[in-house]
Amino acid sequence: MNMKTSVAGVEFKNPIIVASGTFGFCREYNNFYDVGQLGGICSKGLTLEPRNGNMPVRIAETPSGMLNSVGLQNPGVEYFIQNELPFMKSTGAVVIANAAGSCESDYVRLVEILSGTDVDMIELNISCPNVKNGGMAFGVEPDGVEHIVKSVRKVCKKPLIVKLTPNVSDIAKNALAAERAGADALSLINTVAAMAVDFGRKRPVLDAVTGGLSGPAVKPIALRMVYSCYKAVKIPIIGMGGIMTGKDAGEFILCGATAVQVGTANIFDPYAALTILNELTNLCERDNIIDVQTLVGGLRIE
Amino acid sequence: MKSVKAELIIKSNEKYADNLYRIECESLHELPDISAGQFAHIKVPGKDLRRPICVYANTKNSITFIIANVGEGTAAFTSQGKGHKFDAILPLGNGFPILPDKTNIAVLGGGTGCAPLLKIAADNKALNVTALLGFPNASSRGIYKDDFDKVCKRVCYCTDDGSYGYHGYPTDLLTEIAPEVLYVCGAPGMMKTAREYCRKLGVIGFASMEQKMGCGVGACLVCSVRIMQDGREKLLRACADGPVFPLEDIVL
Repeated sequence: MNMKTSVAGVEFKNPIIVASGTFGFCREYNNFYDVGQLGGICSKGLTLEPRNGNMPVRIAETPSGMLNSVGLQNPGVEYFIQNELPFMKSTGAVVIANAAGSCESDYVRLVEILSGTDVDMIELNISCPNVKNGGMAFGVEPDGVEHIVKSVRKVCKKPLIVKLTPNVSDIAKNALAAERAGADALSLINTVAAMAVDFGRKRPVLDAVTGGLSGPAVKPIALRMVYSCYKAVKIPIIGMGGIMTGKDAGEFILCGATAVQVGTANIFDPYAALTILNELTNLCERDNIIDVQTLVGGLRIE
Repeated sequence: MKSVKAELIIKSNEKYADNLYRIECESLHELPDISAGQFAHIKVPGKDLRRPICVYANTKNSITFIIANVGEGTAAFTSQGKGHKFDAILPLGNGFPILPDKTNIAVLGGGTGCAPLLKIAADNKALNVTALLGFPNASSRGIYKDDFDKVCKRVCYCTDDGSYGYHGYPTDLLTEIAPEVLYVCGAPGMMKTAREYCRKLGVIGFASMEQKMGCGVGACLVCSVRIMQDGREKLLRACADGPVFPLEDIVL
């Protein structure tokens, strides 16, 4: 049985990638299991300069999910290259650098810098809901997507994944805009803009007031969006949103995802991504699926 | 110290005043070493996010938690009885640094905040620890039985209503005890008073902090606490940089 897949010419030993912001730079989880067993690892969202992020409280538990408002806290791209990237590369998983910014020149410079490193792919984060003027400003309107992807594409020497936000009117239009501008792949969905309220204290739970919703609550939204984008574009799609089991991963693949990202599940359980990989492998075995790639877009619609 | 996912079974669950629970669990497999101040990230019924709970006491195959019902997650866990099986990632975080050359050591705790302090004395009997423990009343003190008396040189119980021991705050007794090293866990007011005391007299202090937590292992960056480091305020991870921090660095 073949669990291998490839996205934009990059070979993955299996379709399970861990999502940005839920796996740090993978060291923490490597204490629990060999993370090199995973298909790929997305770094925490990186910016040119180190960022402190938002003030706590940064997390709220909500029905079947959670909100976060971390606000792109990260040590900056230079620190990443010096101190985190070599370890990530040593695991043997595909290394994807998640690149974030707040203005066009930052994105361009960041992608230029990352292009000169050992990262295997770059995931352009134009969809973070937790930073003012941060990313999502470029990710909401199709014109904005096309503009920023075009600018970045000129300097990007790595396969370029564009991560889309669900907080838009028609995600397929944004997907097409990214494709037109030269994206090699898409990943979706980022978190859904949301908030939680503490009635007793008459205050928002998050210090930043609003945050991003993730977890099983968003899975049906994410499946629909992956399906819509798959119908619209020719470039490969990495699907994510509330994947908790191997079956969830399989559902995204049927809707058109070539690979999937596991995010919030890692926060609920440190072994989640490995468990999901094993479950997906067992499902394929059970159903006599010789090659996992034959499932991609295999949803039957009468 | 390597963290594991431990399979635990509740052996006993005793309820005390003010929604406090003392829950003793058995482990199916031998537990790793756990330092004073480290915590377990507990899977609670019906919730996806785990709950970080400090380890109160443990042996190779048993572990005890002191838990206050502070929300839905803790309530879902404390309502479980004998035989309930669950898993916990443990041990996590950095515990209290032990300074063996110091002779006058005090622990200062309030309510459930006393829980992470017991192991300092229990695991380091040569330290001759003095415990200053504060409670609203005598019945909420009862959850600790005579655990502190067994391992400390001296225990000063304090109650807000005077129903047990000293009538007042345990911080009132700091001057009398005059410790060289102080370990603290409690409400922000207690932490603040202790921090000022330590600053004024140059006492070495460590405090255990809490924050709403995600992964518990240092990856998701949600459990930030405000800490002064290298002359500026930083947002550090309660789970992986803490939960114990130098008292003087904590921004309260």
